[in-house]
Amino acid sequence: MIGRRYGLFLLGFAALIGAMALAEHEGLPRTWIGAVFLLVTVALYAGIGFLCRTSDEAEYFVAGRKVPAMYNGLATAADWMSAASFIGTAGVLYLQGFGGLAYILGWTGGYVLLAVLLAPYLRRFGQYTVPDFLGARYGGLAPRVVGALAAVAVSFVYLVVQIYGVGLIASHLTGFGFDLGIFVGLGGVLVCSFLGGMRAVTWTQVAQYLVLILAYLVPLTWLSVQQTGSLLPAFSHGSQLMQIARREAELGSDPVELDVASRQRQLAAQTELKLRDVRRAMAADAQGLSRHIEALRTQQAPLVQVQRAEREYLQRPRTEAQARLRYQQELERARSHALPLAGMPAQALPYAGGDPQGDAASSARYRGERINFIALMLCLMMGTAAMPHVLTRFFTTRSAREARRSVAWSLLFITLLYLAAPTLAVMVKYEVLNHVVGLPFDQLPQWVTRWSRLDANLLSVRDLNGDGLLQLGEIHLGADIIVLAAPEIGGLPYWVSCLVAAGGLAAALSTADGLLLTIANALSHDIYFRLFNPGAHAVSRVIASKMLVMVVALLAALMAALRLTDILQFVSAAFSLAAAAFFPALVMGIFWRRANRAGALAGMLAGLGVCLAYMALNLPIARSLLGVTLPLARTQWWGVDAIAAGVFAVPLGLLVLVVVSLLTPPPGAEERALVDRLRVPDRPES
Amino acid sequence: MHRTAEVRLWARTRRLTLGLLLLWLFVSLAGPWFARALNDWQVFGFPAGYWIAAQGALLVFLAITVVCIWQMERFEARYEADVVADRAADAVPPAEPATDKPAP
Repeated sequence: MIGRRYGLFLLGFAALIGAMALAEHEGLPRTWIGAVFLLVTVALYAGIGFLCRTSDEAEYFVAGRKVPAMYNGLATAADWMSAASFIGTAGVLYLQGFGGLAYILGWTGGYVLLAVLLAPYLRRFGQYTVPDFLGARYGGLAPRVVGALAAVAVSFVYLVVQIYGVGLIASHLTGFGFDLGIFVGLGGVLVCSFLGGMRAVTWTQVAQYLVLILAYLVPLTWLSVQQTGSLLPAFSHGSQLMQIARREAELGSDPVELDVASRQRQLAAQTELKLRDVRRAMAADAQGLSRHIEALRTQQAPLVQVQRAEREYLQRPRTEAQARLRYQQELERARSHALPLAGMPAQALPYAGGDPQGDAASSARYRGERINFIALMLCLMMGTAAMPHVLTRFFTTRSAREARRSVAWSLLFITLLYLAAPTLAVMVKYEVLNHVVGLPFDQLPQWVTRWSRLDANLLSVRDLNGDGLLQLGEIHLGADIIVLAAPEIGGLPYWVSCLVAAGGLAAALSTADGLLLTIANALSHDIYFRLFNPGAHAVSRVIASKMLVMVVALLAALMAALRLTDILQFVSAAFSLAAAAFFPALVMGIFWRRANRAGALAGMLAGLGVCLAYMALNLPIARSLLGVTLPLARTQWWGVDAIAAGVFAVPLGLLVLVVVSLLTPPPGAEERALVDRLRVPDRPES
Repeated sequence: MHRTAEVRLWARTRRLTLGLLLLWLFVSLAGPWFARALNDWQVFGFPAGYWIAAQGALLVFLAITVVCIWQMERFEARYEADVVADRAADAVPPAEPATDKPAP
């Protein structure tokens, strides 16, 4: 029955794609195609949300506990795939090579922990939220409240970034402004969560997974067929990897590339000077640009060059703050491009920044990269298993057994995408290194010129050495462009680009829905109901949650509209915080009967404290805000970056939990009975 | 006094959990730790260290999850049978002291 409905959905979606492909062929303008993709998909999600509207408490909070394992797996996979996962992962893999695989491993390995340690036991507990479990298992109010606040904090940061992503993608698809894009996306999110809570969100997420997997695999497979003729690129891109390695070796020793690198170093030095007196630099820049345009005109240079120079002049920063930001970005870019291969490590070489057989400094760098890879991976694994909006997904299955199976389905659907991401990165790099680098500037492919005009942060080219040919050191690709431009790189029709954008939108909306619901439920169920008004009726609890959904969504949209790009650092921090707050308390609560309230509270607070302190001392943004000047060698443990703070916070929190539990009275009979109940299947009705 | 079905189930669950976690830890740590050295070999046309991190480990994670499900469902079926057997044994006074069934 359900299968038939989604089969119908897929058919309808395929029909939409077919119709758009035909329309593009017949000449429908691009903005129309983009707008149709945006509006139809959002309308579909809203429609499903409307059909699943409910005010029943069980349906609203946990989808009536009726979701079959496979569909829950699809929904969890969509919930898990955020805009960053969908668009950013391939980009990180392109730019950082092997280092990006820490994310791939971290975000899949966590599901093993979920299956083995958490999901079935939480489902057997059977209430509505994770703080519910903490409250029942440990008694009292403190663990529940700390859990609820941690869930809200972690999820809210994540939510703001998703809405930001929704705004970006929606505005890309339609050419409308960023703020309007946020408004449209917000509408889509609200219709589901407000009307139908978890029930609507779950079934919408299933549809969104289907959209996003199609949106990723269609361009990937098409590109693969073009490059190597293979229909299964995940298995066949080994040869391209080898060719990339050869080309990297060539480019690394090419004297022209080395010359470009040294020019980038000069550029970096010049930009540093600019940053010292921004106002004078702005004036000097403006003068220099207008003189350049004059020179091009008198030389009767090609129109393309004159237009490019004019565009640069028009897009120059107007205020000092803008200029400072722009120079900062240019400085970072120039610095990274002054390194070999434009700052990109060799694609398949682990810990490429160092050499285990090299000199002391080189082997220290190798070991440092390796430690950070493993630390980040472990931190992401534990954070994945402790993310509130993921844990809540397992409350909606029919039984503990189904919850366990659901984890496997989730992992399968997630693995599909995470096998595809490195493949896409390799294929784009293959294209860039072999078919773009070395071309004359006036013969650059369409996608290069189009995107460099659209957004210089995503793609910029500059003939530094004036030889008219593009060197690798002269082209800059931002992380997000890898997925967005992949269809154009292959010369695929525009509707494929729109499909990709629709997939990114589906990813962002599904995650935003899940997060929004988690926040609203934590606030209404764990704080309002359990803390303030235990006598509230089921109906008023649902109403409270719905009101909170609206308020939180608007708050998040307001914050997203501020466009604080530094917030991305906080998203990675969210994994560490979630792991620190929830992992020890949940796992010990299930596996150790002696764990008690004092221990759990101490463990949670100690873990969070260690996490926050480590980040305050080591995260660049925190360091500048707090004025920390101690060198990193003194504030870091074993050279581990702040992004992986959770890898220390979890074991320390665990230790504190154990020690404090042993030093304080054991938990009461009720708590022990709960633990015993969790470990045994429910008695079947006889 | 024989152990109840619950105790037996939990003992099996604990052993399985520990075993799977150790396997998970081994794959997660050994793969990245030795990745550079492993790259000297090739697997399916890929450098082995890269392949393990990009694909191999993922497949192992999936396998561990499936094994967890398969074994846990077996244990729970065994538990149901044990519960029935225990009830039957309690209904009839035992002629000789009951002995633990050895776990295969």
